[in-house]
Amino acid sequence: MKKSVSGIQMLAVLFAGTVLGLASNASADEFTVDGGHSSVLFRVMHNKSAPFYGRFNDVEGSFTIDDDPTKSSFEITVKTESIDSNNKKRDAHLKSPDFFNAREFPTLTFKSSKVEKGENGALKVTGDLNCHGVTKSITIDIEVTGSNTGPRGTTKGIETIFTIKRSDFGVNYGLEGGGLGDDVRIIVALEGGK
Amino acid sequence: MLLRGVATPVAILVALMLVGHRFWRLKDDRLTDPLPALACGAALTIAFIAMFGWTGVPPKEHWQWMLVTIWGATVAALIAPLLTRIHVLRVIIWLVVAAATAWLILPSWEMYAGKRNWYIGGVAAVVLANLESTSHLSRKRFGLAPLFLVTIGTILTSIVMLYAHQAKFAQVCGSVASVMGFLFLVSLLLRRREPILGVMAIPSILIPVLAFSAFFYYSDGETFPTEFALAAITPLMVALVTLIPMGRLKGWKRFAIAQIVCIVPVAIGVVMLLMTVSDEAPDYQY
Repeated sequence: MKKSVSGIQMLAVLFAGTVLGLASNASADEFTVDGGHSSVLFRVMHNKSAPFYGRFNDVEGSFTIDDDPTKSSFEITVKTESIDSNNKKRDAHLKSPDFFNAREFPTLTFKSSKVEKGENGALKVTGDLNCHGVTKSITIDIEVTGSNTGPRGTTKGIETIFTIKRSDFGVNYGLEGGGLGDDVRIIVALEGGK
Repeated sequence: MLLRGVATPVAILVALMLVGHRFWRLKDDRLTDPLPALACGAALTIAFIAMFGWTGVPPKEHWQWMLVTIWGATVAALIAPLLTRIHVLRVIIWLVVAAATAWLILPSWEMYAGKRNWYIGGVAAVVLANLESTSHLSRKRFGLAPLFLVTIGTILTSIVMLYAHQAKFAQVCGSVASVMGFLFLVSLLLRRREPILGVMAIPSILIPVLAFSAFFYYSDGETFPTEFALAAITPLMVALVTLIPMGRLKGWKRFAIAQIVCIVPVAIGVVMLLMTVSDEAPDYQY
């Protein structure tokens, strides 16, 4: 009798351990960014009048969302050549040394260095943003927008909206006279899968 | 920005030329007069810094080595008058200058790694052809016409830069055009007939530097560099038109033919760029 109880306890411990282990692995899994279902938009004031939106069409990277925020991480790369302002002439100009200098600086990158619990369930993420060859530390709020498990596996979405000054990154063209604003709002919405 | 790119070098050039002429009182036939070259170099350097700030050495972006090529072009302009009759030494020096210029402006990016020597050779060949062909223009008998012709050619090169969506390079090109144009006017004003005194070496180096830099940074990877190469040889064309026998023609006819022949290549480049971008997208402004 004594032996039998001990066996059940053993099984229970093994089962609990397996479940906890799986849960732990699941929460630490890395999601690979699905470029086809992700968006990187930028918004800049034109002629001090109206906000203008453009986008980058090529984004890749990965992120890890953990129940323990400090174990979460984000690493995103955007190809500057993929800029799309709905005007080929303007795209060519935006890729030139006047703006992004896409030949010399082919990517914009963000890599998190510290993740904390933020307000309203968001994550407060500090990391290095590299743009136009200049790296600056920024802190942004990232919201986990949802997750799903289906035939295509498990997906998870995140979104962040933040503002940078392009002059901080040496992108100064059009600042004089206010043709183009200095503040650039960045909107990043990513879907990751595993 | 446009004001800085054009007005700054002009103001500096005019001030230096007038002050220098007043105090130095150099004679017109002194081929070693360093004033025009120094004034051009100072004007272009200050204009570059006024437009883009001090970029440092080495600069953060590769195209900013252009500032060093301005200094190199100034040195070439200073020594050019001394080399007019020393043919072998001149060609050797121009070869070194051309190779150094090409090596400096060719970005070290992976996309150019495989054909690096070809690019350096091509750019150096154009710079060498420009320098060598314009060297004989230092002689007095050509007067101020080469300065005027190269000014027009440089303005057209600036238009090539604009249509290639390279506004910064267009602005530098505008600075070169304004310096050459006002050097022409100041020389007229001061009745200095031997004007060039080597300053043709400046556009001979800087125009191909600008044209090929624009190509290296041009993001339409499929575009063959014809437009940029045609712009780059503008100084060579200025020199070649002096070889056309036009002795029996009247002054204005001679000038018109020279002008047309001189700007034909770069004008073709402008038209080619216009054709490639014509109906693709509407114009935009900032």
